[in-house]
Amino acid sequence: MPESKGTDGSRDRPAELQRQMDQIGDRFLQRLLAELAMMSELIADLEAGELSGLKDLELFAHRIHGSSAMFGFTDISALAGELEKLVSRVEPANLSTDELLDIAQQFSLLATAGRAASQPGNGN
Amino acid sequence: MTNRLGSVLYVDDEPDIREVVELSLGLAEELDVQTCESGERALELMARNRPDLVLLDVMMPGLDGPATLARLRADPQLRSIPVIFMTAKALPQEIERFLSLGAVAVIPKPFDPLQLAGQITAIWENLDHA
Repeated sequence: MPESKGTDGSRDRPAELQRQMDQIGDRFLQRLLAELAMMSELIADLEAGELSGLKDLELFAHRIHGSSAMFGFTDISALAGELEKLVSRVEPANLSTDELLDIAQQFSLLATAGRAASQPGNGN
Repeated sequence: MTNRLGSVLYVDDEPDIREVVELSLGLAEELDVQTCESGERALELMARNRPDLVLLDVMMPGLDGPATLARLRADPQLRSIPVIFMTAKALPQEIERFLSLGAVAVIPKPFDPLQLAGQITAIWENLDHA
C-alpha cells in the first residue's frame, strides 16, 4: 500500500495529503460561487421559457454533487444531487410550472448552502 | 508476474477531482499518471501514448464516459485497454449498466484518496492479461 512503503516521511503522507485536499477544497468553494452564478442564469432562462440550458444545469448539479462529497461538504452534495435528479427527470417539451418551481426552490437551497460554506471560516 | 500496472490515464471534466486523483495515484510512485478533461482529448492522448489503464468519469460534456468507452472499443489499437468508470452515479443498476458496456470495474465517488492506488492496482492484478 502506498502509505507503507517505509521510506522516510511516509508516515506523514496522510497528513500531507489532507493538507493538499484542504487546499483543493478551498479552490472548489471559490469555483462553486462562480458556478452557482452561472446556474442562476440558467434558471432565469428556464423561467423565461428558454430550455436549451437544461443539460448544462444538470451537468453543473452533477459536478457539484460529486465534488462537494469528495471534499466533505455532504449537505451541498445532497442538495446538488437532488437538483440533478429534478432536472434529469424533465422532458423539455413538457416542463410544468410545478417542475420549474421545484427546480428553482432546490437551486435556492443549494445556493444558500454553497454561499454559506464559502464564507471565510465556514469551510470543513 | 510481469504485468505490473505502469501508466494510468484519468479523464474528468472536474479539475479539482483530477487534482485529487493525481495526488492519490502519486502516492504510488511506480505509477505514471496522466489526466485530461474530456473524452475527445483522452482519445487523442491514447492514440499517441497508450496507457495500461483508463479511469473514466461518466458524466462529461461532449463525449461522456460511455461514449468514450464505445469509441475506444471500436478502435483496434485501443480496444483492449481496460477501463474503470469513476462516478457518483453508483447505484446497483447503474453499475450493472456500466459493466455491461465493457468497463472492468466501477469505483464510486467520493473515493478514499489514500486507497485509490491500491484499489486500481488490485483491479488490474485481477484482470486476465493473457
